[in-house]
Amino acid sequence: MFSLLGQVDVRVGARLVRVPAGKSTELLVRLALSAGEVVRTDVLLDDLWPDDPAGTQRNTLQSKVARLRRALDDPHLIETCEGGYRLAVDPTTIDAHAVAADAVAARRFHDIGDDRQACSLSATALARFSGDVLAGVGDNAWILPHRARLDDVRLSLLETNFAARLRLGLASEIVNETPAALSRYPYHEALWALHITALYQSGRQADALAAYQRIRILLADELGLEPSPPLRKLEERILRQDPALARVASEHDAGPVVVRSTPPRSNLPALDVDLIGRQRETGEILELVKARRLVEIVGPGGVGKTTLAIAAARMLVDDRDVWLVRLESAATLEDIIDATTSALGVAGGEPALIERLRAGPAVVIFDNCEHLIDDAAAWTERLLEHAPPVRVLLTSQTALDVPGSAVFHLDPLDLEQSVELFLKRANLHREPSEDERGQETVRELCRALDGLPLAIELAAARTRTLSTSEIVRRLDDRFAVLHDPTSRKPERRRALRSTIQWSYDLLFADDQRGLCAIAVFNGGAALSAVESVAASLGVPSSTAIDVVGRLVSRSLVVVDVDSNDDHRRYRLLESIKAFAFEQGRADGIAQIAQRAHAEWYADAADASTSGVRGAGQDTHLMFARRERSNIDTALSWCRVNDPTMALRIAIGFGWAWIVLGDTRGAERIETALVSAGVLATPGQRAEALLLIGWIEASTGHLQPARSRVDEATAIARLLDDPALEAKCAYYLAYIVSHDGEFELGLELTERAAVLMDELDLPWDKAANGLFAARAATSLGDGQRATEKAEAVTAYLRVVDDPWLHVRGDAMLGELARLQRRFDDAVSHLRRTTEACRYRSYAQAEAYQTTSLGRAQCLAGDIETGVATLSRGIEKAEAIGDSRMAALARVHLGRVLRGLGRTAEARSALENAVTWQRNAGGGELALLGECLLAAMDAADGVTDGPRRVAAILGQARSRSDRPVEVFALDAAARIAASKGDADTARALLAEADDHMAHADHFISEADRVDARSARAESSKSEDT
Amino acid sequence: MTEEEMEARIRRAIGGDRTTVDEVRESAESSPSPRIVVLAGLLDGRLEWAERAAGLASTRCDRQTVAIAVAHLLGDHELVDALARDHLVDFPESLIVAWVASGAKADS
Repeated sequence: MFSLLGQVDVRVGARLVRVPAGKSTELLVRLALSAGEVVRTDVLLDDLWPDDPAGTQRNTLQSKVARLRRALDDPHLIETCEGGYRLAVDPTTIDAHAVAADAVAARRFHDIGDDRQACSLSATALARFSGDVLAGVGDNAWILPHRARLDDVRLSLLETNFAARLRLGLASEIVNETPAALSRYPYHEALWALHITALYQSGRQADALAAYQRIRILLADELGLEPSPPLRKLEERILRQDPALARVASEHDAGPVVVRSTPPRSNLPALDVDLIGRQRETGEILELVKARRLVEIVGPGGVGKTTLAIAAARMLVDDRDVWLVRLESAATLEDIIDATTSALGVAGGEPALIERLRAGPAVVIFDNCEHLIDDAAAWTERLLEHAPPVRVLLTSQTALDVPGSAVFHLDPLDLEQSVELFLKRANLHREPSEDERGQETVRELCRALDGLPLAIELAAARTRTLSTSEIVRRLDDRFAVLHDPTSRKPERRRALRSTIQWSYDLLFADDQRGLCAIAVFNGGAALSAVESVAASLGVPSSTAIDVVGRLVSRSLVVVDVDSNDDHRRYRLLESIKAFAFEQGRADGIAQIAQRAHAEWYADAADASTSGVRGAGQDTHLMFARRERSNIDTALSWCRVNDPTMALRIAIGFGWAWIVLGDTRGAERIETALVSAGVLATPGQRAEALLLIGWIEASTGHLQPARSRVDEATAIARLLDDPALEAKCAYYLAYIVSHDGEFELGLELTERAAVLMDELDLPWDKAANGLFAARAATSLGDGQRATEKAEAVTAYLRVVDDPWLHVRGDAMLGELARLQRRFDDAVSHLRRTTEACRYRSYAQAEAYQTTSLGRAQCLAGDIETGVATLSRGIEKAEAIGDSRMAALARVHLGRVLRGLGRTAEARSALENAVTWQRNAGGGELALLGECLLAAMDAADGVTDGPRRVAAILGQARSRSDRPVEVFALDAAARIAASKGDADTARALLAEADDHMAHADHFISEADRVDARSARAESSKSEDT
Repeated sequence: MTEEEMEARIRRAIGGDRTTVDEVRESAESSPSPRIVVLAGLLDGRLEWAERAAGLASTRCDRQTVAIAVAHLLGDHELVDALARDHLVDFPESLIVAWVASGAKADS
């Protein structure tokens, strides 16, 4: 099998071929793309060495061919033909050819109305693409047409997939995926049409129309074109709400949807488990899960609990989310929560997780709970209580005994099932012998192995070179040697342990070290990480891949494939991991492996510091998310053995945690800082404090955040380090802005700009400019906001950080709002919100959703604005950011009051004000107080007028125009209600003057008290 | 020394060619070839040469060969048998391992 679409990967049979890098790989791909055809030597020379004179590389070509033949281990695969070479393989074994054929077939299925087949086929083909097409081949000119052709194939598959799923009624799923496709193919109108239709069919008519506007503007601005007639027609149909367009399923859809065309919302391993002899148990588990919210599968190690849980859950993915949470590396309740959030890909902590699980039916599998029974039980009960749609399936060697749970005791396989399993696995390696066909020896072996599937798998993996009789004899010897009549361990555990030991003893020394290397990882590792740790144990990198391959073939290592991106991880089952680690310790190599493990993550942390601020951000974020438990393991080891390395790791991943909204980041960094103690350099200490401060501020803990940055600033001054001091200044600007201290924020950014003036720090300058622009915008200072925005735009031309670019776009939206270009503001902020969602910037998404809601209200679409603001609150709460939720509630309360929905407005405002009072303030705290005081005054609450007067004084002293407007309006209403029309009119006139400077922030619709005061004054005049 | 010459030399040593055996022994301390060094260790029953060969071996084939030789020199015949079978599936032309698997007795 030749995989060329991403990084080149070749397998001959089950063997992974290590293709020499560089020209050899390029040659192989060149031949593979013309598989079965002769490629002439002169064409190969021209293609591969375009800059060299004709023929000069002929000998090199021959040597590359020879190397490839050796690597492939089959001289006949590359044939020397008359005048050239031919790769003698069936083109369908090459993914680049296979996907093209699949694209045609999927389109045909769609055309004849078989959307399920179209879905299934196109999704399978799309899953073969990962990243850029033919990424592993270089950039010679010959590759370009192939890349373009395969990119077209991918586009065609995407179109077919989306179109088929639309007809299957899966619009709401598609809208989460089309933005990614559109970012790859931004001008492809057919994709836009599918995106717009999916939005419309999901009940998001306004979003569908806004999407149409985006492509219209994009085509006009970038290409000078109008949308094509079909796209224009689509907009018309949405505007007149064509019923045919809203139909979610086609006439072809005769039954329930049984095919999920994209990987369902599930993280189950991509590789199917070939389940033998567990059909009855699978059915029983399914029934239990349907009937009870908590099901425990309990049984001894190696009996197949995980396999059974996965097999049962796999049958549920069509109608609910299914999440597998492996707990073998968890040690505390916090670790369990971390593992759960990580499995679900949720940014933020427990609140975000609960929010996600409340959204719809889901099954969560907690695997390997036996070592933390109490914590797992507590967490399970919490989940079940707070997320009603969730069901939990867990595996453990001991029952958790949670009230209401159904406990399923899993027994070993019976003899017939054991024999079937052994023969099936053994047949992977060779034909069964006559002896084995007779089955008596196999039965004897299976009896000896107690019907434990894992032990049977380990024994069967040896049938490549040992006959069953030999395995029986050797295992019998082993059992005799290991038999200990005084042991209190159950017989089955001894059988499993003995089988693992036996399997281990028959390994080459390199393989044993490789096993120890994998054992130090938690949740497995990518090959490169295993290679690095194995190298520390003396296993050369060049042989590590073979080592891993052999361990997999001996059933000692499991390969997990992420169905979303084909990422492969190598992992040990818990019983094997415990054994391998124990063995490594006895051999004195476990500690070496642990250090190498920590060093691997320290190097990754170093790379993350700058990488996560650049174009490769996605990769670094994915690494930080995927490797969370390994990073925690490395931190934990380092804290005891090498505290400075712990600090290096924590600081290195700090910014990634910030972008991911991983709020435990602060705790990790602080613990590392404390462990390092005096060993931390002042620079490290300052960096750590800044990161902790940022995370604290982002979760609403502003006072401790300020203290951290103050301490960091003192260090920066002591070190006389202008870059660090500048960083401290703009971090503080970020923090004080949360308190609404925008003037101070601006001052701090000015100071940072001066400190960095002579320094080559474009990222920091861009970030600083963003905070400056935001502060100026919030102050309503159009001139300074424009200046800052222009500076930021210039810096962003040389900075490739998507996170900054998203914020840059948000800044333009805020600027548009300040300049009263509300439609532009909506457009910018909608794009920003979608980008945040697509990139999983949870915190930024919550903030920008609130900004979008505000802009929609100002643009006159108040109902949509209210819905968006409510969504902003939900998102803020989902990531545990109460400060941001309070901010959004102040806006929502203001708008709802304007709409006359007084009770809802009061509820939102009281909620916000209560939080802000408890937190000692916050952005818009005075506005919230003002609106609540105005409502109280209007309701006749005694101290209402006094509070309004006090707030007016504060607003005047701060020149806070929006608050002044509301306070003056409220004061006018109070005066009017007392019959003092002159005072009321004077106050309203003053408010109107201020409104001219505040109408980017609030609208006339919000001025409930002004309308009331005017009406009351008019009545007074009339009487 | 080319690959073919190396193979021929190993074949002659295993076959008991006295001159070649002496050459192999003499070069054991200085040769960069793990196969020659391990062969010398096997011929003389010297574990330290096998250990030196372990430091030189970098390919999968050579490292497995050394591991099998070490097991042989330590007298673990069960292990030699199991490892040699594994090795010979992937490297059927491995002269030294085939020789070790058959008892590693030079013909002379």
